[in-house]
Amino acid sequence: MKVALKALLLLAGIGLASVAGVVIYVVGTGVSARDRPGAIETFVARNVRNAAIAWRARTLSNPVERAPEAVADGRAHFADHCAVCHGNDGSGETEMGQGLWPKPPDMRLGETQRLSDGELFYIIEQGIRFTGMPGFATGTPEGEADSWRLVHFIRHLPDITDAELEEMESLNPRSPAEIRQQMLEEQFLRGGERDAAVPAPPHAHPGGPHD
Amino acid sequence: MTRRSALSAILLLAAAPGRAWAHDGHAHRVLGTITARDEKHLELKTPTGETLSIAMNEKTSLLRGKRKADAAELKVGIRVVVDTGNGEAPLVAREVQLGVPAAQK
Repeated sequence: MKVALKALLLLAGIGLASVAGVVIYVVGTGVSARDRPGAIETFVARNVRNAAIAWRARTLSNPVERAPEAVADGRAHFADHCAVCHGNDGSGETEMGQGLWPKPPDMRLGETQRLSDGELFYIIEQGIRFTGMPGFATGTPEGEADSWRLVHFIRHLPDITDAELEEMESLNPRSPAEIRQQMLEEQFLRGGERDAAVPAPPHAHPGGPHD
Repeated sequence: MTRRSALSAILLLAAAPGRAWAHDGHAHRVLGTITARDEKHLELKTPTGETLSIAMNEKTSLLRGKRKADAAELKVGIRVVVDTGNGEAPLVAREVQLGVPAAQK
């Protein structure tokens, strides 16, 4: 009995010491969202994500016919709502995406493409907890149809063309500063003088890179 | 598995949802008129009178509107908008958008 108690106390001590070590390490180094997760961490996170997808959703089939119009609608929706993190090409190589933890996946690759239509739909509708992926469910048939069309577009990502990417760029949301910057540049390229009525946006440098 | 990865995995289940808002990586764009050029450099005079030297490499894309432009179109006197990436010295052009020749005074 005494041996068992000693063993239990020893295990409890090791456990407490481990927790204290983790706390000291985290407090000392911080935890940055900019780090790239390691292989095991990625494995754990991916499996936690997969486990979080409701079983009933996995076998759902896409009720929207995969017509070119449906893929085009999904493409426009993706450019407007998703590309800021995922990129128009689904690579995840965006300023926002690379600042997230975990990083958005390269959706052209097998890790995403192997998910069933139902799993993709569930992720779009419900999001993924503890990540930057929001749930977009509206609870309406129209909203669900939009999500199913996004599933069609995600399936199309490995074959996306340059022309489609160019069209998507025109559909990406832009801030007022970016709109002002484009106006300023177009005016300048056409031969106009800099217009004082068009204020310089925060990241444009009409007079040089650091004026 | 690194210590950091291990700790991050442990914290995965406990961490509150969050979003990082990075502030670097904005494209820095320079407006100017070409005053000199060779195969690997552009010299620009900006509207404020500053002279800048910007390097070009094999990754630099030249555009006029939405179509690709030829290097021969980069002539002295042409107005350009240059995307210099992060804007840090030495400046390197990622994209050069060509405009019209500057008005003669």
